[in-house]
Amino acid sequence: MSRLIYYISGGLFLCAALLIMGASSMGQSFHREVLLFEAYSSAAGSDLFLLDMQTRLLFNLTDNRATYESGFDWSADGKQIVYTASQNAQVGLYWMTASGRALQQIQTPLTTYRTPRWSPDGKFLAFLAPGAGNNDLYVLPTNGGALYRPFDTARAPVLLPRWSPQSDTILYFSVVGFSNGLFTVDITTGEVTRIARLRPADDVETGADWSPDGAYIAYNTHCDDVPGVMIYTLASQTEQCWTPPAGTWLRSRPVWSPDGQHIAIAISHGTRQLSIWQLDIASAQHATYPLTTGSGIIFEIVWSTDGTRLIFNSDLGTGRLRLYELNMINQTIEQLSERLVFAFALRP
Amino acid sequence: MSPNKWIWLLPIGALVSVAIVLQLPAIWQLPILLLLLVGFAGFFLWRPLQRIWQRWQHSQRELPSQPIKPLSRWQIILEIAFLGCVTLFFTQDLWRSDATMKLPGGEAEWLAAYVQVAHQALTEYGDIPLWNPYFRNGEPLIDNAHSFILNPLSSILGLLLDVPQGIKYSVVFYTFFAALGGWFLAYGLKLSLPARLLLGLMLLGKGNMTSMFMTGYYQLAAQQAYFGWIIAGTIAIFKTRERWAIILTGVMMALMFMAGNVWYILPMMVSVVITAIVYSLPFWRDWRAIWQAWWRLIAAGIVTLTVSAVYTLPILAHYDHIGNHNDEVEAGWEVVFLERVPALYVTPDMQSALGGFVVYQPAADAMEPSYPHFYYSAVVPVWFVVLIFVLIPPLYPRWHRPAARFDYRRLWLAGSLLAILMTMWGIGGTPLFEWLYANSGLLRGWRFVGRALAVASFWIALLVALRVDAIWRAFAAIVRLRLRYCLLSVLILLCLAAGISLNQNAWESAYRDQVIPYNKGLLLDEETKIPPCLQQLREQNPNANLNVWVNGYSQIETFIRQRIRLANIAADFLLLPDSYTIGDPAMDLWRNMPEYALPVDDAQRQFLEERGYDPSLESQVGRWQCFYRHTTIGMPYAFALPKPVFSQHNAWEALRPFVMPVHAVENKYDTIGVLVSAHLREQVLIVKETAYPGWQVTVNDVPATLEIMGGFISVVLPPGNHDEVYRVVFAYRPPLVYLGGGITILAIMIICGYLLRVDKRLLGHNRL
Repeated sequence: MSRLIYYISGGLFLCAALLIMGASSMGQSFHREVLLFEAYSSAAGSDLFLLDMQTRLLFNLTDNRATYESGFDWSADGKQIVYTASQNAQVGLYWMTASGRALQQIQTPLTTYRTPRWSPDGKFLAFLAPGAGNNDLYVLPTNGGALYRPFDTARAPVLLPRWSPQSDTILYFSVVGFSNGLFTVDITTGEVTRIARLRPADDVETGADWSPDGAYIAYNTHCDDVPGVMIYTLASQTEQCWTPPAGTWLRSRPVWSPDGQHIAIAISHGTRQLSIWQLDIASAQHATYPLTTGSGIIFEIVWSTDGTRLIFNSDLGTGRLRLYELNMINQTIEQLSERLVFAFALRP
Repeated sequence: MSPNKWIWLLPIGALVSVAIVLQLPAIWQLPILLLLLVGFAGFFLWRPLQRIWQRWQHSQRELPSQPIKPLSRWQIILEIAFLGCVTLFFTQDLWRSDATMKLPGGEAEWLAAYVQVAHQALTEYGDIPLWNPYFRNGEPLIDNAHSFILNPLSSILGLLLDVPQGIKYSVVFYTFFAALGGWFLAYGLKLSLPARLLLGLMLLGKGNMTSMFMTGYYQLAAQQAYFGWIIAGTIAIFKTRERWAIILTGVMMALMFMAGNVWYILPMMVSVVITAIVYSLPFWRDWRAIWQAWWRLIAAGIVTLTVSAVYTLPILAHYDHIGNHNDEVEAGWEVVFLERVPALYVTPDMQSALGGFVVYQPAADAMEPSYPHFYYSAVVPVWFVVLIFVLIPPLYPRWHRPAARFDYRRLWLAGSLLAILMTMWGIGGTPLFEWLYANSGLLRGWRFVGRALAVASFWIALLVALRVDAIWRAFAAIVRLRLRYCLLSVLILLCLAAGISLNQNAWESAYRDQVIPYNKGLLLDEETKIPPCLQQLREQNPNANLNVWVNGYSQIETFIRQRIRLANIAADFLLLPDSYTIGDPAMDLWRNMPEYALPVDDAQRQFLEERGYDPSLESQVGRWQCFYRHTTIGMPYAFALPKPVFSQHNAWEALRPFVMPVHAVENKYDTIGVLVSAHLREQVLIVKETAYPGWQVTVNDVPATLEIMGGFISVVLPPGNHDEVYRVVFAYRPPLVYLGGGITILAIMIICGYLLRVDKRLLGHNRL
């Protein structure tokens, strides 16, 4: 009898150990880096994919060839995804869990949606929809509140909206006529503030990013006719310009590192030799990571959560747009996907 | 007052009329002067001509024509089988050869490539596209004046068997079809056995057709196969009230339209009209019947226009897009010396015919023909002509009279007139045609006048056949029975000997002089290096949209198989894009050279080096340096540019730094899908396909406005966010092709109903 008790207790102990290990593993899995991207396998459709950055396992979230899924964003807790899907010129707004379940269409009076953006606090969903100015900004409270427009965008179509980390302001560009510039809009009061005007310079890829603490905005511009990245301090409304090596052009929007100490941006020497330029704000040190010897394109860069790697989509001069990871410590580049990828986002 | 009193007023009136006519535009002068001349001649010569006509008719009635027995079914089958066997025998070098043997010359590759592209697309996608992306910057595959895909007789074997085999079999088929057309014409005219067979054999081996087939002018040769059918149909319209006559004439003319060249349409229209006029004579005898016959001929014209609408409607509508097609000057920049003209038709051996053949090029002050194959017009051996026209004619009044028939007078008149007219056209430099070319813009488009000799030789063949028939009937009518069979047998043997001799010389010499040298690489040795070079380039760039310059257009077959665009087809025909809607019209990107070039001689290498090309070291086949490369001149297949840059720059070199490559994810000949990341500024997406009327574009499934930049199809994309992707689909869907296709299908249905006499049955049913 005692031996039986001994075996049962031993078995229970073993089960408990396994359960604890399993739970620990699941917890680890949840905190792993997961990349969401939109990939085109053919012209017959695009799908959303999840890529486990550790195991490199790929999971198709929307295996549907008849529709084009695009314009997606993570919720702040990384458990939900909002995206648009189009079929026959109709574009719907959907959300689903990160596992691909609970697909649901978000119903609003609108019929077409672009670029949905979840606020960092998860309380709002901002998106663009064609209106009088082609790109009107709409905000939808996720608690069931009414859809509204923070301001009249009829004469100033909104582009590249990005929530501030505090979820109270949206940074956006507008490029039409006198409304040309980089702006912020308070989603509560609708107050619009111009941060900068844009120059009609074609050798600067326009883009902007909030610092992780929301105190700064980095955007591309010219500093004394030289392409550079401007750091705008919201509190003091002051600017500081950083210029990459002479003779280079800016090829992507600037992106802040998770710790807010660095900025990364793609540059090229004229039309040749694509590189990523990394700037240390505090020490003014910078480093350049060459990507190609010839010409190439790069669309988007994001930092890894630990700040040691950069994930980007580029053709690396081959003409085929793919997803890559640059390890800045050992300076190696690894291809992450064989598919054609235009947009991607790391889980928060 | 007697009318003769005022006769002196006539010459004054004539002079005044001529003076007035000379003040008219030149294009009206000749016809009006001719009318005046005919009027005056008729006034003075009416009575004498009427007396001559009556006497001649009286003489014809003295001895009636021999009754003509209808042919039995087996006789028809045997005669057609005989022509088929002769065709197979003389074309055996074509149908017995394997795929390594091609028809010679760049023309063959270029002109046959339309069916190759269609075959390739059919194999890949199961349908025939409307756009051919492999020539220059792309051009229509169907609504193209050189395309013959819609003519099933020209294309079906090529579509099924690909090139070169399918085209070679088509050549065999067309030669038989030409012979059958000749036989059918003779059969319709109720000519005798030797005349039927001889006409079939003469059209089978007609020098113009064999030489054009064997030098690669597939379309021009194929068109000649319809001559016999069209004239047979025209004559049948005037001799019978059968429905098939209208349909035969109309459909054969339509098929000739759609055989891929416009050249023989005009001379055949002239031939049809003159044939119709002579068959209307004397038009005062039974004018109601003649009037009805002309209406039937007009109905045949309507059949032609409607059946060929799918082809002709878009081509005529976009006629102004045909470029690089300079007008002919003064009816022939090559002029044949008059004393050489008779020999053109009676010298079957190509080497003999063209070896001592002399033309003069006034512009170049040279004495050799640039395109001798256009002048090779052998249609009958000289000994046969001497025999039937020189030796037998002394007996003509007695022997020929019994055989005189309704068709002879008319066909001799039409045939002689047209043979002379077409010869005058073909030899170049004759005053009548110089005048016509000088005063008719449309006619100046009919270049290389030597091609008209093919029509002349057809009519000469018919005249020879008529002559043989007359002799046959004369023998049959008046010679004593025992001698008759002997003479008739001799005549048959002579006719067969003439026909076989013509074919033997025409096919063998064309094959020997053209096909063998080309395929043995004696003529174009360096061009044989092109295929391995293209294969290597494709292997090095398996997924790229490649575009290569070569000087000329040989080896097009390999370009298409490797899916490489041939940037430069140095032919005198190209389809131009629509005018610009974006950018500076002076920026002619459409004619820019591509990144890769493949020179085959030192002159071409120098030409490329002068334009900044360098030898590409990674492209060698053995010791052969394949490609020259220009790293900055080449444009990507699809790219985007910020729209504001067009207001600042107007040259490719200046625009190039702003190019944003895009991704063409679907390139299905006439449907091109492109994915473009949105840009903060308005951008212009450009795809390197010729902006020919008929392209449509959608952006994210919504129709958008097609723009034209640099001669290429483009679309303006609105500003957007980087993570947004525009799905742009360009599709070539020419509305006139669909409209014409609808008309063609409707016409074919009506024709079927007409031939099946559905209208009669319906009317009959209604009566019940």
